[in-house]
Amino acid sequence: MHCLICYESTEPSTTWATMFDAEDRPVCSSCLEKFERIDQVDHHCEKCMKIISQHETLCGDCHAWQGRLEEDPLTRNISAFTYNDYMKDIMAQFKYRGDYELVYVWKEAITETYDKHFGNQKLTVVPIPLSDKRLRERGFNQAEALAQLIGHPIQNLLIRTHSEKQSKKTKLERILSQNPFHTRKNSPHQILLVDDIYTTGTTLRQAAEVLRSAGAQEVFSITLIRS
Amino acid sequence: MMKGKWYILALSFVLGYLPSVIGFLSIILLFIIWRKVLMKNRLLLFLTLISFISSYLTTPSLNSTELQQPINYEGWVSVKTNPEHTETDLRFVAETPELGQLYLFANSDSKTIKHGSKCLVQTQLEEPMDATNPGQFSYKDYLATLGIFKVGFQTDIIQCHNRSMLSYIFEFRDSLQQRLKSELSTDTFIWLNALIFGERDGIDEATIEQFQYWNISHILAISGLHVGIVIAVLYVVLLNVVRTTKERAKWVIICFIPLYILLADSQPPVLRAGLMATGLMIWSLFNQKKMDAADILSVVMIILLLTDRYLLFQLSFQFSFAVTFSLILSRNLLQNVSWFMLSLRVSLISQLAILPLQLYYFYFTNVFSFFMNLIYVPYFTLFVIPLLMIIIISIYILPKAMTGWLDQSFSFVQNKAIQLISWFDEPDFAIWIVGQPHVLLMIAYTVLFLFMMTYWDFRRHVKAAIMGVLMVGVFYVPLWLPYLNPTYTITMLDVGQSDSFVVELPYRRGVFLIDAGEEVQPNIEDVQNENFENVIKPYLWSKGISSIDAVWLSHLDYDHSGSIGHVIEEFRPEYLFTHSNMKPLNVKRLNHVLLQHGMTVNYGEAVFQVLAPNPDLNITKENDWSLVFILKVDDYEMLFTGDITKRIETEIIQTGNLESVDVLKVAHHGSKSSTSSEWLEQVDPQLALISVGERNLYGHPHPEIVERLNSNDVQTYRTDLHGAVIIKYHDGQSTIYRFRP
Repeated sequence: MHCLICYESTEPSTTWATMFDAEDRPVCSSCLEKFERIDQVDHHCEKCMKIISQHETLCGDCHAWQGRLEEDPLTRNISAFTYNDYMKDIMAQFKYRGDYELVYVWKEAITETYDKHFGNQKLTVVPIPLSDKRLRERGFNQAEALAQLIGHPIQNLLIRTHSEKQSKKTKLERILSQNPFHTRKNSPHQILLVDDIYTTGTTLRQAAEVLRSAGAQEVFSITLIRS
Repeated sequence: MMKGKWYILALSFVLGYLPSVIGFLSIILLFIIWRKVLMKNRLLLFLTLISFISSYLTTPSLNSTELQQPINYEGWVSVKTNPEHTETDLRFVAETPELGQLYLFANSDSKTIKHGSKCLVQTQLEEPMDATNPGQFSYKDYLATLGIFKVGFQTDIIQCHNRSMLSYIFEFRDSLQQRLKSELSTDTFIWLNALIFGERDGIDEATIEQFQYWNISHILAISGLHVGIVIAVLYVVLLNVVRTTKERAKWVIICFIPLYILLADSQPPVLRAGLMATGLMIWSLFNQKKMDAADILSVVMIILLLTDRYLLFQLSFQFSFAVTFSLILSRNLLQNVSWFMLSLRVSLISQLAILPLQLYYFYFTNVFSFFMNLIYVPYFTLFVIPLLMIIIISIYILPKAMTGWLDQSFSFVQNKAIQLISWFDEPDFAIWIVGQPHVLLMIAYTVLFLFMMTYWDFRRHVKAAIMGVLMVGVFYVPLWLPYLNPTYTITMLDVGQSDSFVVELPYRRGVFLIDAGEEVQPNIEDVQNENFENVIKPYLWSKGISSIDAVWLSHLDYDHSGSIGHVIEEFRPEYLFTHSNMKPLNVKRLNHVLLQHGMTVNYGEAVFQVLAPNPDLNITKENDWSLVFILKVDDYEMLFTGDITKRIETEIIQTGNLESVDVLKVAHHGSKSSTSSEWLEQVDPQLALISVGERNLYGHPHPEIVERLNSNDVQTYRTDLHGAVIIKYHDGQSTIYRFRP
């Protein structure tokens, strides 16, 4: 097999660990090493996985959210990678230039992270949706693509109405903006939201809020990136 | 397509060496283990089968038809090795179509004999010396691993013609050696000869023994690491001093490597490292991508085995590939660690990889050898070898005084380094004596080792540690088994014209040595401990016996007591029993007990009833002072007689204490002066054991005695004919095994 990113052979160097392994790898080890796994960084916020200094447990953002909201609708977020420059490049290729196959580059990391943190919980996997307009633009929903890597059935409980692109708003605007999500069904009790990136946490909290009022008791989230 | 998968081919090729049933079972196992890989890759599947079958069909045998007695041979042979000139003879391996490979020793020198010559020779061919004791080194088996089945002594080289291209290189090598020998101090030359030319016979025995004790004798041979250093130095010099292009430097090295292999005596580790380096160089000239090191090693292994199928049987080949494969597969464990951790891990992984082989060949391992490796591997590779190479070059380009100074500084430092090893001495706690493990245990160990390394590679440290403990635990099995074994064993070791018996009580309740003799040599100057080093110690170690409970010396003649000092030093007996005509020894932690007739010694279930000597008699000869005792275990009695003469036999009969026994040790190697008819009638043994040297100068055993035993219907076993003789007694039944068929 050839690497999805650099097209070199993905056959790993023979070591004890790879000797009995017939798995085809979608990405070569040298490309994979350029991503930075967040759980290999020393210390992160216990709620949202933002990298913080040693003596803190909760990051400033999460403190702010606690002050702002009576009860945080999002119980906990887990992310796999940091948003380093290499990730930015590959994300752009994946999301904006529509290279759907690249999603398999992260398959191992996503399933590993899922198994490690949520493996023994019964969660309903719900991807963050795109609005119809954005979906037509991109051709696929990156959150749904990532969600299906987990290997569990996906429930598209949420519907998104079109609004301005998040990235064109200021932080305050985003937090104060109207909730773009709604749902027409009752929500199961335990939910795992899936998205590509956690930046401020607003999107995930808006989605969590909607599901909470539709009957969810606990909402977790998993994202590929914590920026 | 085949990238990263060549090791499967190398493995299946090795499996082809196994005997039919085991071989086919293991290739099936290989298909099961790698089914996912093989089903996806049909080419690989096909090649794996081809590799196994072709190896299986062409695997050479280690046996050949045996000669019953030496035969004279005259005819043409082709010379396969560079003839080696020693002080006393000329040695070379020759081949004939009908006899295969022969190892010939010629007394007269011949100037015309060269590598690749055809020679007309006249020689006397015989079987190489085989082991005659369990655990003993077999020269015959050793030569068989080289594909040599006959040796020829007293060879006359009548005429030779032709020579090979290679012989010119060997000639250059010989002349280089001669020049270095004459211009350098002996101290420097012997190290240079060992480490650059691969001939270590100049290094003294004591030093080699110390290196073996610490499991670092691999340093004394040219290892793959040396080759790596030589090539690295050459590459750097070419690039930075000669200032050539990288490409040209690589080509120079590719041409240089075969020459270096020949200069370094083409031992398996050198071949391995040399070919791997060549492979890497050629690959890097034509490809941008890195090649998988495991692939190169696998290909090199297959190529080497195809050119010489016997290589796999050789210890240095096995050690070299086991270590190299393990280290290559551990690459992830050796990256991003400190220098100290790296050395520690390299040392640990190498030691564990060769442990089953180490125990199989040497019966022991040194648990602190990693520590010695940590000191001496860097010292030899970073100091000794580079300096030796500089010295060789300096002979050609520097003034004599400079070379002399280098020479002297080297030998000064080197002597200090070697003295340091002696300073560590040979502490008992450092070595772990296991004995020769059963093949099944070696396989169990290897499987657990694979699991351990795989878990370690996945960073599952707990599981890896569990596997590690189990893996080492495997080798405690042979150490514990004797404690469950109800068999009582008496072994008459073949120690030539001398005596040594080993007694092992059931359930390992006691191990005794009765006599520890060395053969009397015509030249008294040579301090001999050959029986101890070649027979007694290997026998005990191969059974995992590292200490003994008691030693009995019948009397003090050299052929019964010669190596007692070594026995006390290395096997730390609790008791020493001797006759009463000597002063008690004052040795720490040793109880020396003087015995005489009428005494009884109990140890576990063993009862020693002492019949002689009687100090009241007027005894003049040491032989007549011999301890005579009956060793009784369960209902089985054996009478030990030392070297007593008829006079003492009569005295013992007269005391009236003697009844018939099961086994008699025939006194004085079967001499006519002992074993009278009355004695034999009185003792009335079923079995007689005679410890006697093959073709000894005394004509022992005397035909009269042999005849007397025969006519009394005594089953007789002799070390000169039967090798070691082992009596196993269990449940009232005794079984006798002879080591020589």
